[in-house]
Amino acid sequence: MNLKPAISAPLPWLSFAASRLLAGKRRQILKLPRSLVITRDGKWYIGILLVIGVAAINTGNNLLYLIVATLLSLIIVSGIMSEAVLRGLRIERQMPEYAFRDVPVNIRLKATNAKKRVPSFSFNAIDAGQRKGAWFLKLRAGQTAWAPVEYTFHKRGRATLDMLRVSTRFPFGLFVKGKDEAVKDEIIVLPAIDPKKAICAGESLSAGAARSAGKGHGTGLYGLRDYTLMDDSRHIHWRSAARTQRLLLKEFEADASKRLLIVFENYACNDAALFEELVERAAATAAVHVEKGWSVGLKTLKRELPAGAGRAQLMRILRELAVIEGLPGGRPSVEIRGV
Amino acid sequence: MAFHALTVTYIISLLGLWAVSLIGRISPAFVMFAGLLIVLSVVYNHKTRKAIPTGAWNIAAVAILLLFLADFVLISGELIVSGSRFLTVLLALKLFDLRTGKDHFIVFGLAFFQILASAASTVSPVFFAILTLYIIFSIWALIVFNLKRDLQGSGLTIEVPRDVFGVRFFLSVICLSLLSILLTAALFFSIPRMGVGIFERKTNDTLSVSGFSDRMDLGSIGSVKLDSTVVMRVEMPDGKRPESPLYLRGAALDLYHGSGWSRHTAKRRLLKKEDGGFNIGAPGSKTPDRKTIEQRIWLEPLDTDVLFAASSAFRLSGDFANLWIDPDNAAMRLPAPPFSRLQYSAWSDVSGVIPSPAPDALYLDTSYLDKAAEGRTIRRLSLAITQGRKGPLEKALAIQNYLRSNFDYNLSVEGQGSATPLEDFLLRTKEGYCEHFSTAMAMLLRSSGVPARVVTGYQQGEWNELGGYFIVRQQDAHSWVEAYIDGRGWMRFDPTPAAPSAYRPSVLTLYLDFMRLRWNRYVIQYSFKDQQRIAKEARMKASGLLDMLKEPFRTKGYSGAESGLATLLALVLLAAAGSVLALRRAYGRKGRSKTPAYYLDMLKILEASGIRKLASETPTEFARRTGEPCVGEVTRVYEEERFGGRTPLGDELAGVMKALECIKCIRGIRKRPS
Repeated sequence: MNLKPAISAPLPWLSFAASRLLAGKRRQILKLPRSLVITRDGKWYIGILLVIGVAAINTGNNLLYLIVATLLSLIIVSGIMSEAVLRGLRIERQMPEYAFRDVPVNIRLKATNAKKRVPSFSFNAIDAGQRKGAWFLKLRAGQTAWAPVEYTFHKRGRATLDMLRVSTRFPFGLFVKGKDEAVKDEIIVLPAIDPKKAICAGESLSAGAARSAGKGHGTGLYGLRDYTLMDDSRHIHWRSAARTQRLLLKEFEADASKRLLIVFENYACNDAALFEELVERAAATAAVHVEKGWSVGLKTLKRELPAGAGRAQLMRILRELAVIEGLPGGRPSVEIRGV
Repeated sequence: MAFHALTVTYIISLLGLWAVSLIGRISPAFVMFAGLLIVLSVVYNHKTRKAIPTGAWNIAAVAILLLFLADFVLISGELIVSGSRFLTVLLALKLFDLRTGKDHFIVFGLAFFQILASAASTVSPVFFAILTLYIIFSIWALIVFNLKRDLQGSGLTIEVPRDVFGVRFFLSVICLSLLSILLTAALFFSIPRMGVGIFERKTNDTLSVSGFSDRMDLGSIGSVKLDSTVVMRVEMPDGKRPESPLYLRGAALDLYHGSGWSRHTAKRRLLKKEDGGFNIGAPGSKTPDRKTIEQRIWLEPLDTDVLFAASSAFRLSGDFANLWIDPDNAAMRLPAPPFSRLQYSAWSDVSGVIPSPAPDALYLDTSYLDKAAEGRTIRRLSLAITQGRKGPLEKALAIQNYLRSNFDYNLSVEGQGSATPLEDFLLRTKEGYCEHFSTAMAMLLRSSGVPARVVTGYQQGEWNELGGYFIVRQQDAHSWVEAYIDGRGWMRFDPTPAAPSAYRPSVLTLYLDFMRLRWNRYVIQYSFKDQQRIAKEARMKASGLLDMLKEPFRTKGYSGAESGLATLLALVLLAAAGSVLALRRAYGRKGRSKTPAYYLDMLKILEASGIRKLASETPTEFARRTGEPCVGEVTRVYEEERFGGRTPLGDELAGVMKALECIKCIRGIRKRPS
């Protein structure tokens, strides 16, 4: 009786099923939990170990075998110690709200040693794709420490940080052992602001505009409100203050003559650099004019932000520009219009 | 226990020097010279501390290299000896130039190579002590230097806080070193041995022994009777001291020529290994009081090819391919002196009789007495002693008694080196040591017609209770007589009266010697055969354990297959339980308490001062009960983190730490800072 077909028949199915099941996880399954890089000192150490090993074999000298065993044991001890450092370490990021493209931003890395007894010595935490990381000398059991790290993002948009690498050369500096911590965070990378790229609006741009849009940096009185420590003391309305026995602040109307709308026709084009250039031009225009006290609005193919003044408006515009993408249909352009 | 780089570097340097001093051909004068350089460098580093210019350092290094080459080519001729001297001088010089961490590292490296050179040339157990200390201090230094290097690499401009390298850190280093030593032992015993080294190095520390070749001059043994150097250790596998004294037989000589003994004709027969050993003769004599013993002998490197074993050996087993045996006098020899430690086992009949057919006439050779001026007097003396004695045994006993009772044991006899030592001993001085007694008895026996020969070897030495073995020293060298007794064979007679022992070892010496034996046995002589034996024992123990597991099922009447299956099931269950425990340990952290460590710390502090949180109390109630604002502050942060899901900020955590310190101060656990 030939059993071969009966046995071999399910194998292709099994292998197919296994490959389907593991399709997504294969990389994770095959990935080792720790990475290991031999340092220059480590390479010397292993070289010397090999030479003494060969000498021990050739001479049959047991004391040379003893030295070989000692050197090997130090490698094992090094492995145990570095594992003790990495195990139970939790790294988190304290992210700022946003960052500008190509401008270093400080992100605080928080390291917690969740072990009960063993401290962690000399470890480095670094994000994938970043040059600089945070180094911690010693973290006692249960202790938490912070370290600021300068991050630089080279692409506007939503930047996702999903993997932190914790590595250590402890205890002897022979190996760099590392582990990857899946820590997901997101940050909005705003376009870089280069004032030279701004499109300057003339004073005549919004001449004859009908009316004031609300509070702003104009000259007309808009109203009074309670003074806070954040406010400019020059704008305190002293007469009302004397009358009401409390500090009141003058608020002004927006300057109706300084209003503009940035029109960004965000059509996709083959030249990605050109598109980015236009985004930055729009961002610079908004930033420069908001700083000068203008009310600035943004109109894109999909959305329109009404004109407004102040930093909050600028951030709204920059956030919009940070995530803006090209749409099919024409040629991209940026221009300003009076409102 | 603050780390002091200079101190640790000096300790490691001294360990290197100590290791070099173990190399046999490095003279104590050189070691003292190097020690003096190290002391000078200490003074230099403490007082002057001026950096040596790089040029001067390079010139000195080249000069040392040239001296090394000259030493190797012209003086020592041995790479290890010259290399060790080179390393030592280089290290001593480097101690004058300790500026950066790298300089300290270089010193550690040089000391390591010194230890390596020592490993290649010594067999001393002191080496292990040096290696252990080197492991401890190098681990300590490597960790500290590595941390400092990491700190420099991090770009931070802070100093390493002193508390990082405190007492706890040092204790951790000690624990690490112990772990390393345990791992070293495990690895050492499990690294497979290749059986034999192609470039096996012979030791230079060979002991010179005389009287064990084909010639023995009278007076040769006497010179070593005050030497307490250990020659061999004879271990009894059962650990029990034999009832009768052991005579470790070496060579037998049959021709007396006035100033010493030699052989008429040296015959040799090559023995091949059978069943892992050499069968030398029949197992024991035919006498009813026959008694055989097994000995494990650890022979130090000797400059003789003779193998020693309790008289008379009938089987020998050891790591040598060939064995020569003299069929006439039962001496065992290797093809050449080994110049290294030997370990072998021997089985002997210790009844004192070697069964043999009637010997040649040469054992009755008294031609010397015919020629000697006082030969006739000696013959008359022999007749007088044996008068009335009939058989050879009676004659031998009479002569033995005569010598024992009428002559004295004396190591410093008058007329040393005289041309007629036998006549001087028998007729004039009447005092001497074993060689004189055995020579006199052999010649008296021959004069009375009994075939006799002189045997050289060792007495059993002192018994070491700790390890169940005899320590045999140079001073135990001995000479006795074998007389041929019709119907029995060669019978041992020892005419030498008991001598006062020249050396009495202390308990400490015996203990150290025991350690040395173990070191030789389990480290120096550890071999592939030992690994095979250990593997075999482990296999047997494992099968014994399986049998033990099967036993309960067997007694209940299960068949072999059923009990095997049940055992397998039990093992699988055991493995599963172990896996579950391991998985729980690895992934069960989520189930652990979510209480932050600082709150637990606070509870511990309060509990130590008698305030315990009740199970029925909420944290706030507990804080209120204590009435301390610091406890309230810690509790607030804890509640926000634990129940509000808010991670405390750095400032808040710093505040918590201060609050904990404050609680400690209030509770008297720590002194309030001034």
